[in-house]
Amino acid sequence: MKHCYHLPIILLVLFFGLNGCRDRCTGTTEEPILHLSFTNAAGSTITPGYSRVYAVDGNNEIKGDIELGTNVRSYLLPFSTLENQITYVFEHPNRTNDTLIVTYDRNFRFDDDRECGLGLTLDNVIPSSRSTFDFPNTFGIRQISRDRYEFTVTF
Amino acid sequence: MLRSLFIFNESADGNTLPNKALELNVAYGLKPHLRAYMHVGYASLQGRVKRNLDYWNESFYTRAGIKYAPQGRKARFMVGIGVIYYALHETGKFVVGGQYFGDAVLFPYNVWSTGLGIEFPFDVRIPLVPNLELKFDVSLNITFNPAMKNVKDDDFVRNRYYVPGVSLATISEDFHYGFNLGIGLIYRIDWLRKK
Repeated sequence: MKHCYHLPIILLVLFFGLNGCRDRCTGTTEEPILHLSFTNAAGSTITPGYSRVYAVDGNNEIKGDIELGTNVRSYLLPFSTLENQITYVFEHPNRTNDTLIVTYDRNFRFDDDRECGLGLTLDNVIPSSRSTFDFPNTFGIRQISRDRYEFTVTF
Repeated sequence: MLRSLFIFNESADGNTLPNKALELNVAYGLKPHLRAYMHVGYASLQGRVKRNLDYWNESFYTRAGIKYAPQGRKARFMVGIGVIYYALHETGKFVVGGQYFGDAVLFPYNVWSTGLGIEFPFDVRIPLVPNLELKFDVSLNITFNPAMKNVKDDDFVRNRYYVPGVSLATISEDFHYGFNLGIGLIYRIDWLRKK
């Protein structure tokens, strides 16, 4: 029987190599992102037809336009690291504007890994009832990774 | 002699910010065998460590003492003793944010500290051409800076500080044993030589 002496070594290298690739920092230093998508009553993803999407900060300053990706049907909406609330405005050519207001708690924490330094985590990320969207059939905003969140609005 | 110093500052993520260091080095012959010296330097360093901790610091130092030249005025080897003093100022900055809304900037510390110590310099001079010498000045020193106590275990500040002109190694303890190396060219002007 031919012994495969190299297999354990290869597995060990793969194990440590993959571990090394993983970012162990628990907080982010970037603006977290909310993936916002829209579905119809049947659960199919739809393109909402908004002509312009942008955010408004706490000083009522209108920020830059946020584009809908050509091949994706979700908006990538950045969270502000400066405030605990953000308002997104969705302009539609044929009806009144929609707004989505999201509130959250910013926590600046030192990471257990000393080299990570200070990082930001968001807690209690919830859509505000002051938004114009209805959220009867949604499960709220779901965190999918360290700095990525997901939210689906059903028309 | 005015010279630039090499910068060994710690920086992650490819620091592209400018650093600068200057030193003025003056020596005066008191007697054929005795020479007083003084080095005065200033440096400012910037960089990023710990993923997102930016720092800006400036330091000033002075070293002064007496060197003994066993072979007299044109000696190739000198040994001496002196005092060393430095002042260090550093501001730390954490940046969290992005391009869309801008950055949340936190300044976790702004420290001033001073260090005082004693040094033992050794000079070696190698003649190149008449009146031009290559100079290696090596010194061993010990400095005390009370603000550095426990700094290496502090998550809130930078854990090591490089003070150009004081030590080639970074300082992280209140008592620091330093090693210095200066390399320079000396042009000797013989003011008193008779025509």
